[in-house]
Amino acid sequence: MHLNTLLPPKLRENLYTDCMHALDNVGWDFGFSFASYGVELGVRSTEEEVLQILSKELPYKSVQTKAATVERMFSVLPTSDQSSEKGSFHLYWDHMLFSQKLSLDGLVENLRGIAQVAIAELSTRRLFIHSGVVGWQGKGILIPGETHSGKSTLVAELVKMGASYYSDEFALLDEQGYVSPYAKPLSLRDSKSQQQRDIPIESIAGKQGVEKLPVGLVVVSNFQKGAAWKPSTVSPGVGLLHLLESTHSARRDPARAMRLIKKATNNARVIMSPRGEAEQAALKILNEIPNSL
Amino acid sequence: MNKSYVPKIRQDNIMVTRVGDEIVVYDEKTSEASCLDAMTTVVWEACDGSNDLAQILELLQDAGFSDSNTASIWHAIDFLDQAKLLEDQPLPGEKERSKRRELFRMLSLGAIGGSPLISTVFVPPAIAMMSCIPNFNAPCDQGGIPCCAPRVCVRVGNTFRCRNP
Repeated sequence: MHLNTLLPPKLRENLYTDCMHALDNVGWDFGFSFASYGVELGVRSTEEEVLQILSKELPYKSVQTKAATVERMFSVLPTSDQSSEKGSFHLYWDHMLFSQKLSLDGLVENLRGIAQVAIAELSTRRLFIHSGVVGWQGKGILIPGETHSGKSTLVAELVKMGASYYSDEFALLDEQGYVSPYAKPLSLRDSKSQQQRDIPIESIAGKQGVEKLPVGLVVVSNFQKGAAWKPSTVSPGVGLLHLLESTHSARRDPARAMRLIKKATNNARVIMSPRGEAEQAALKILNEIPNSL
Repeated sequence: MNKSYVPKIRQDNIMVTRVGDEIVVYDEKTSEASCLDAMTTVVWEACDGSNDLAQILELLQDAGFSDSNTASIWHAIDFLDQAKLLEDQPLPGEKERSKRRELFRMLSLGAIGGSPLISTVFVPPAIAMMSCIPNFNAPCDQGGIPCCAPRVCVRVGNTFRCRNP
């Protein structure tokens, strides 16, 4: 990516606070803007070198733009910490100090994480739901859940069994209620070190979903060691609740969130069950789809 | 039955969508969303400020809830009140309400009267859905964005930090 760092963007005037005006006084010489799913974001710093690195580590489906004003501004301030060879950084989210004394690796991860959240919250092109998604027999299976609820592990097992991979992070709903792929690499944790690592879907012989799909099944399930798979069908209203609580823009625009979820799940079945090992649950989940057609 | 009490649902900062015979209500003040079952939905719709309890009971029975009774209406109204979905107005005294709850309990045990089913979730801010904070010693907030495993958010002096357990 060729980086234009000559003109750092500005936060949109209507989003300014007194604190943001004060932060401007730091004197940000370098910056760039980028967009993803229609959301314009900006990054600025007093050092150009760090921006060159950050510009190559943006969230999935981000492209650099020439936007002069942005909806969120991330400010990276190098600190005088001498303990790290690569330096250390403070990261601001608009006017808020989000993380302090980050290593360069930490900065990259933090920025990517909060930028992804901002995109998910602000996008009006898609409704972002924190959910794993696979495709099976022409239908989308949504697995909403919190971080550490085992979404990625379950998605990986479903893909190994032949489902097509859509995402282990977001279900993206469009205005017609169809779910689109958000095909970032799978993020799986090593069972021993617990370190998270990105795995290309091809490395587990999986296939990538391409077409948008109608939603056929919503699986509300958390990992519980040793739990048996005992699904119960819940009402569409309760299903809507569970998707709403995982929707990034639900607070910002609840009416839109409820409308799109309702449309998406109009012909879907919603099942709920604790689950033990992902492999066992995955087979049973795929067997649910013929029942939900 | 207290005929003077005419419950009215709140209109401000409330979003409602109907899903089949249920409704989902989102309260922008509390960021809570509730799914009201079919019976409570009828009670909700009847609580427009024009119906007293006798009229609500009649509407319920007209809607096919023939086994509904005063106690089950009160149960639904108590929920709506506790969820702050009713307009501010004095409800009958707690002593009387306790008696009604007890009545409802007995009626439910005897399988007389419908039992409202209501589910509620808290809708978190978007930032709380961030995957996790990757850095050792990064500032964190207990109940907020989690630290990446195996780290956990622990108190260090006056702050909270992502540290190894």
